[in-house]
Amino acid sequence: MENQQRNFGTWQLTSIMLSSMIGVGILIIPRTATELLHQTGWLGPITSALIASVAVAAIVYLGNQFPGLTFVEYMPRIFGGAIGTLCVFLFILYQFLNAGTTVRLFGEVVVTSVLPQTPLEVIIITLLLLVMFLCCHEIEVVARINELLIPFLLFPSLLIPLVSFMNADWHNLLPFQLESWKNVMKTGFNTYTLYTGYELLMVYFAFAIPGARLGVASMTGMSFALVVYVITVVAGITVFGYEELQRLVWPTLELVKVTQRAGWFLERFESAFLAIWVASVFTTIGNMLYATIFSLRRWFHKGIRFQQITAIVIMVPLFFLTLVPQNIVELFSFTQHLTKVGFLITIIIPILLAITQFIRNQFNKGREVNNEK
Amino acid sequence: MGKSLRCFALLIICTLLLSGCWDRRELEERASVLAIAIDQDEKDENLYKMTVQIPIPIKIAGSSGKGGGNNADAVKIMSVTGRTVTDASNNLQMRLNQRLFLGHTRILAVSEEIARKGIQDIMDSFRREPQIRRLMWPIVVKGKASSLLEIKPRIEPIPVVFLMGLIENGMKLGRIPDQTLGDYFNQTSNLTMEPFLNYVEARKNEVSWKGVAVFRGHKMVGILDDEQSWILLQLRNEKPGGDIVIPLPKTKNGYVSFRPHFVKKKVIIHKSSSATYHCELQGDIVELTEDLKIPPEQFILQMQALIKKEMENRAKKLLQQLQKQYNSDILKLGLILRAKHYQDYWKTHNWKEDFRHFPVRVTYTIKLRRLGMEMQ
Repeated sequence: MENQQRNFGTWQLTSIMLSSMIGVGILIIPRTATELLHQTGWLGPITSALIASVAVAAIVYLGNQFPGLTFVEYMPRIFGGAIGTLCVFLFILYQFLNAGTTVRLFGEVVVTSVLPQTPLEVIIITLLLLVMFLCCHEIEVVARINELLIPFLLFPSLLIPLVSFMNADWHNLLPFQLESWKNVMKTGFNTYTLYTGYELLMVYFAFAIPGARLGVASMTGMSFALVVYVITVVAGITVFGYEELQRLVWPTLELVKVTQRAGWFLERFESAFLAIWVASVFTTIGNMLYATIFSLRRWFHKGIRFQQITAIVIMVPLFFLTLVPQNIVELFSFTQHLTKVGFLITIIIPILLAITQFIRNQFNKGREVNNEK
Repeated sequence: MGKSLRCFALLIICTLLLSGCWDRRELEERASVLAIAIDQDEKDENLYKMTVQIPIPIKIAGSSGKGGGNNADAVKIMSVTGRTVTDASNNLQMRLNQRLFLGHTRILAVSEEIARKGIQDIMDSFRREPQIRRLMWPIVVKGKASSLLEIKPRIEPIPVVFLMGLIENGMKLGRIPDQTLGDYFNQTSNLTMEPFLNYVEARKNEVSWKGVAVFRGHKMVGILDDEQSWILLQLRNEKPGGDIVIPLPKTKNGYVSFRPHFVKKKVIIHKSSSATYHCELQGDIVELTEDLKIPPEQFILQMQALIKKEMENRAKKLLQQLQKQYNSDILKLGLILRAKHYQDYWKTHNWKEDFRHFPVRVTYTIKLRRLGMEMQ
């Protein structure tokens, strides 16, 4: 298993990271960031980027320590059999649930704003079928798809907030007044789900070509995402004001709706925006589910045939899972719970892994020195 | 075997890709509402009367061929009543052969009577409906709102298109504020400011812009006429507004007209206890009906002083009305106060009440650049 081909370039890793991170969260971020922080809401994505980048650094360290290995192999090696296996299980379960909520959130956006007559199930099924098709292929396909779709994702997510600055009132950003640092931390923890997706690198780093710079890839990905999120939040605050943001379900979509000026080519941009958004959400969900299924395959030491069958089988419970929340309020509270659980899996576990590995290395080094003496 | 499988796959792909969505609707299968007017029902006070204007595509296409013979019938105007806006539109749907479509609605006209009672419950349905664009224009109409849809402007086959042109061009000239539905929503939820809407009057064949309707919360409290609205535009949006016509002092019937081209404003807040607007107008003299017989250098200085005095008087009157009469901060002064004086003013005051007592001064600087094509 360990001599699988490793052919992911640095840029490919960056695009995997970026497109896994930027997903449906960008449609909600201006609201969640300003909920407690009000006009200083742009601090939210910055704080959460700081929190997330600690975990990213840990993952990069692990990736360098275990070239060619995914978390399925190195978690039991570091933590020992029982706890390691538990961690692997939690990780796979989390990816599965996270993909489910992302699919559902995307379906909700489409149903409320563009296709109100279409049943939610149809949108979910089409998306899942597409992802299933992706999961039936070898892992290089994932890298190539991400690389191909990254311009479609970056271009609109940068262009839309920048264009909407035309009807911005900059006074909405002031005063720069921090009521409490506690709220900054809280918002940071609430919005860090924006960055979830980086933990998938625990799988995809294993396929980096020897010599690919993992640190550079993850740094670029992280800073791109940070810029996109911060300017989206700033655009939301300056255009709407934080009070109005609290009343909008999909603030970024509303931002697209008001981004229209006489003489601009951007008339009725929201349908085009959502069409592009399908690609972005597809990469997010595709990467998550591919990682889930692929790690199952590595776990049980099976081949591509096993992966294909799992892909088809796993879509059935996933489909029913996405339909569990009965309404949008339930859905949002479910995502909030998942955020709290995800905190353990995407931040604490990687950091603990890295620390344990680091201590073990030091210990081993010390022993080698002793042996030489 | 392989060939037949391939054929089958092709067939499946064709049926999937070449068919449309199942809920697809052609453009002419929709009743696109261009404008909505909301009045109170004459008989029952608790009912809203909703009037809509729906263009008839065939009539519009036909009229250009005939040279615009019977333009007047290019639209259908229908009125329904209901307890709420949604109730009324449901009642309307029962009278239509096609599905009602609000995605192209550009104008929402509300009668003054309703606006004075408060339009919160009307706006709620517009907030929730995803088809509604935030860029459409809500307008307060003097008298009955439906009269706005019944005008026959003759220049355009569709009355609403005429009205849209009126607003859009006024907006570009800087004479009419660009106040969209989205702006109204933002201003009502924002704690620092109050909303306002354009105010128009419709007569038989025409419609004219009369200024702005000032709101406090969701309730209309008063009107600013055109001259005062222009001052508002200068102080709030840095838009020039319209020409200023001033009677010349010491003459029988002489007038001078000043046309501002560029506006710059600056708000200074002194020790969080008073504010001064510095407004600079650059413009030309476009009319002078009596020869004053004074040298040009002196003429410029005299005119600048005259215009400055007039503008400051108008601004004073505007602030008097906004503060004492309406108590509604549509100048966005509160936003600036909160942004720049949060600790020392905003936290300790209740702006919604204290705006009334906040001293505001306006000083104008007039820069007279040109005298038109006439030398003096």
